[in-house]
Amino acid sequence: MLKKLNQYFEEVLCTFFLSVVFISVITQVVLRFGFSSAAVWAEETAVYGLIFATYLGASLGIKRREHVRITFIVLSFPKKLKVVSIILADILWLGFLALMIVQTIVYTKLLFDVSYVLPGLKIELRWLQMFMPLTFCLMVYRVFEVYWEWKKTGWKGLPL
Amino acid sequence: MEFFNGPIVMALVFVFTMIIGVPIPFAAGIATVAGLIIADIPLSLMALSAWTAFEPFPLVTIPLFILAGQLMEHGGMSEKLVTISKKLVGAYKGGMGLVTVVACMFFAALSGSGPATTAAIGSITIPAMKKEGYDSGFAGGIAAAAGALGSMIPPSNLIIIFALVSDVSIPRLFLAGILPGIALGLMLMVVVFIISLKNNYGGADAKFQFRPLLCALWDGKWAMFAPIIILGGIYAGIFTPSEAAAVAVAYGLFVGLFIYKGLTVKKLVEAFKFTAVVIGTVMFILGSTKAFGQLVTIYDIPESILNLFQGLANHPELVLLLIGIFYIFIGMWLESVAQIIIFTAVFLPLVTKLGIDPVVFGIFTVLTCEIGFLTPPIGINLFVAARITGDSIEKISIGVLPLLVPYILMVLILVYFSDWVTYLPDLVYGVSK
Repeated sequence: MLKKLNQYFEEVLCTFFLSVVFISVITQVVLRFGFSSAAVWAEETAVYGLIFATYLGASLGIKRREHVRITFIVLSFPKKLKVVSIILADILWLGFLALMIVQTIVYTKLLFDVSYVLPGLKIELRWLQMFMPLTFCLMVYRVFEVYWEWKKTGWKGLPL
Repeated sequence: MEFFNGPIVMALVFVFTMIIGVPIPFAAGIATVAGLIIADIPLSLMALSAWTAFEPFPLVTIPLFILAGQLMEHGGMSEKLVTISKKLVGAYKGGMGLVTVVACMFFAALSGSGPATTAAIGSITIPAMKKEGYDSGFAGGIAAAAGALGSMIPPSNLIIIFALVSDVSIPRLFLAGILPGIALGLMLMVVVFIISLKNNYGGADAKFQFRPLLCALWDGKWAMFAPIIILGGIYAGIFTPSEAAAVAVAYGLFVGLFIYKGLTVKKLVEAFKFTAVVIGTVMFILGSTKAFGQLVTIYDIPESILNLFQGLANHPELVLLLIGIFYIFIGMWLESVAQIIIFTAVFLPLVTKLGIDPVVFGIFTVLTCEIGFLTPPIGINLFVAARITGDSIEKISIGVLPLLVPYILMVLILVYFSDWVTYLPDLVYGVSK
């Protein structure tokens, strides 16, 4: 069960959020042509669906190692330097993710002090924004997972 | 000199982090953080822009077009397009190569992405070309180069990104991409034809006849109808580009499930997964570079660039040429979306001041990005083509070289005569101010 959750978590959520984007926009089309009306919430659900699909997709990209890296320079280094370089790169990357976690938490806290109600959905922005730090936590977890997999291979090759 | 420190440090951080292997969107993020620290701006701007960067509604067009392209590819439309192209140009020397170019032009009118077009058409035509004895590097090169048209012939994701950064209207830019896209396609066909003549590739298909073409067109009518709905809908003013993208998804689903029946549940899931990974790895960068765009303004970079080019103010074509060379060089290293976001902010004020139409500059920018698709080390179309042929990137990058000639020519044409680019948009929407 846990293994399946780990395997498919982002994929399922991304599919869900992309469907939200599609359904929101197509609803607008149908409402306008079929019923000459409009849904005030549709534009917001489309945009927020996109945001979550993107950040969860970024996490999925880490898991599947599909983020674009310039590797040919690193690969031309001697073996030891290769490993050092990639590890340094990943530490910097993790540092950036950690910073994003901290900053998105700060920003979310700020939203808990003021009131910002979304005009279409009629909910507080904070209830959506508070998931942002979690997506970055997920990315950190996925970076560590890549290293965990690397350990299982007996530190062979590079954690790419 | 003081204000120059920030940008220089940012550039150094960006290059250093990329070289040691930080994935590009995150390297851009780290560089932006460095810039914010130097300019003494609170880092919470990063959190804010990670959210607000996605608020412009037209952005939803991009994942929808990627998804639509996937559905149409797996649903069976790419096969139909290849069949039609075969009946159209398959009989000539280099037939299969020409078919690849024509089919890519058709598919480019359904899809907004260069790599996706290469994958959709190349995965069918590359094996066919190899069977006819084409050098596999050249076969991969054709699919890569023709696939790049996906970003020029509307709809186009890169054009949407440019439109958002530059505030130029999306339909206007889409229309402007049509003529250069077709011209590029024709030039590519000439190159393919000449090389095939030299190497005696293909040309054994049945002679060109109208009847089989009409049959193929009729059989592929659902595929041919897709661009009519998408582009026709936009230009008739029925849909906004975002709505057209959603309609394209619905149409792709409908045709794939009920008409061509190529879509299975598994393929449907794959299409969603693919879209998620693409936007997660490509659009993610919007969040980290939104703050970057604000920094560009704070550091007055466009102003400094303007001063830098002061002496060339009377030679706008020379400035455009220099920008083109710079863009092509940057495009070898940088992902296109990142390139457009970062450098449009820097150069657009300069070129508009020199009297260059922003629409032309948009097409010019996308064109140079396409060359970036086709040049190592980060030529994404080369990767896609190499995965299909099973060759190394090096082999494809050599095979694609002759096909870069049309792209370079087009850069020069746009530098020296660009009036024709705005012909279609001016015709439909009237001359802009």
